[in-house]
Amino acid sequence: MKIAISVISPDEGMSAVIDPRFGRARHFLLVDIDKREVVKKVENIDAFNMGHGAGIKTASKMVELGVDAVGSGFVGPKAFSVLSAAGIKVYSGLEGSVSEAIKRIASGEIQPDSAPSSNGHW
Amino acid sequence: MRIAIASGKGGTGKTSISVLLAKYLSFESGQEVDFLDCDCEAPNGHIFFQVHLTPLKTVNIFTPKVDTSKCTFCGKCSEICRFNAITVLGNKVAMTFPELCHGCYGCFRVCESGAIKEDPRRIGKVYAGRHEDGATRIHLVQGVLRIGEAMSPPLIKAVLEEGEASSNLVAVTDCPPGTSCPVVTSIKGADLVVIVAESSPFGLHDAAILTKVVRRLGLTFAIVANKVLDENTLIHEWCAKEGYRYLGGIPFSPDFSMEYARGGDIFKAAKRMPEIEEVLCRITKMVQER
Repeated sequence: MKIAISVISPDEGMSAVIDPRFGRARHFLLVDIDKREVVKKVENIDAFNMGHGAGIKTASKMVELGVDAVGSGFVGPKAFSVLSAAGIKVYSGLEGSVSEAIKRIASGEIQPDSAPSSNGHW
Repeated sequence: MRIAIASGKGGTGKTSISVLLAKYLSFESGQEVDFLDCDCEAPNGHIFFQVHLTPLKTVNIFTPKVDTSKCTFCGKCSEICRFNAITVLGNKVAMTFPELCHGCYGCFRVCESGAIKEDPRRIGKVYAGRHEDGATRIHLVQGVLRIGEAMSPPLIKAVLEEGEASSNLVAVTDCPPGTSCPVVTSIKGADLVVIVAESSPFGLHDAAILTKVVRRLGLTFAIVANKVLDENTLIHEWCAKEGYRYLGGIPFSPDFSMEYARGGDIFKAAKRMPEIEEVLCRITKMVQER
């Protein structure tokens, strides 16, 4: 399973720090959950600079990347609706490093969301 | 001839100056004056004139609706949208976010398969009425934004169109606060922009931003300092330093503020303040110069 996680420090690989914001995260790391390794770094500066609809832009990008799931701190309602329409699982409430988050997801401690985790614009 | 009254910061006295100016101009010219209330989120100019308002029209904006039976999922609509109001996922889902749509018809025009249908949304209403009081006559037009709606510029345009259709020679536009799209829409095409700057560091800060916008649009402008406390010269000095036309300072008056808050007779309160008439007289002179 491939998951895209919003991060602040993309060059630190599995130790990278998670960005709590989904839509306006500057970077994402694509991680193979089974192999516990980073597959790809993805820049998200274009969505970060959007005046409106950053969540929609970022979520659409996730669809194009073909990920199975996304992980972040908070995912707003518009991003959530795009991700659910595309059948992408959303894991929110993540913090700390990517490797810790992957452990919690793989162990089943964190379950995918059934609703947006923020009202957006927080 | 259209005079737009704007401020940057809210609560600086735009409506007071607009209402007083419209009445003054009508009295001086003996003509009816248009009062265009473009502060559609909270129009309140009518409170100071006895006007019976009647609805003129309902304003809608275009938003897209995708007919998925015709959609080829090419993604051109999503590419052209600057507001991310439409997105295409793979080759089976096209989603729209009408609340982000600015009604530009871009997606509608680039769609080659005719899959985008119009799904109009009501954003507000335009009302109008007339006020007559001895020697003054006002034709008041206001836009009222639907509660919950965020997109006011198309409604503001509808108010301004009513002003253009009017046979009156002079129009006073009461603008919304701020410096973003609603303000730009309200001041665009004005022959004169009067910037009402509150005489405070905050007022100066926002008036300076608005001045940049007005200059970028290439409009003629002049500045009034309002709510001046203790003969503070903050705004006057700024105008002198920048070489901007300064129309005078109006002192802060609890008497005037109370009358305004009551929705009372601000014309009478204004008569007790000679500085107001000086400012209105200078604006009138600028109007006559043009």
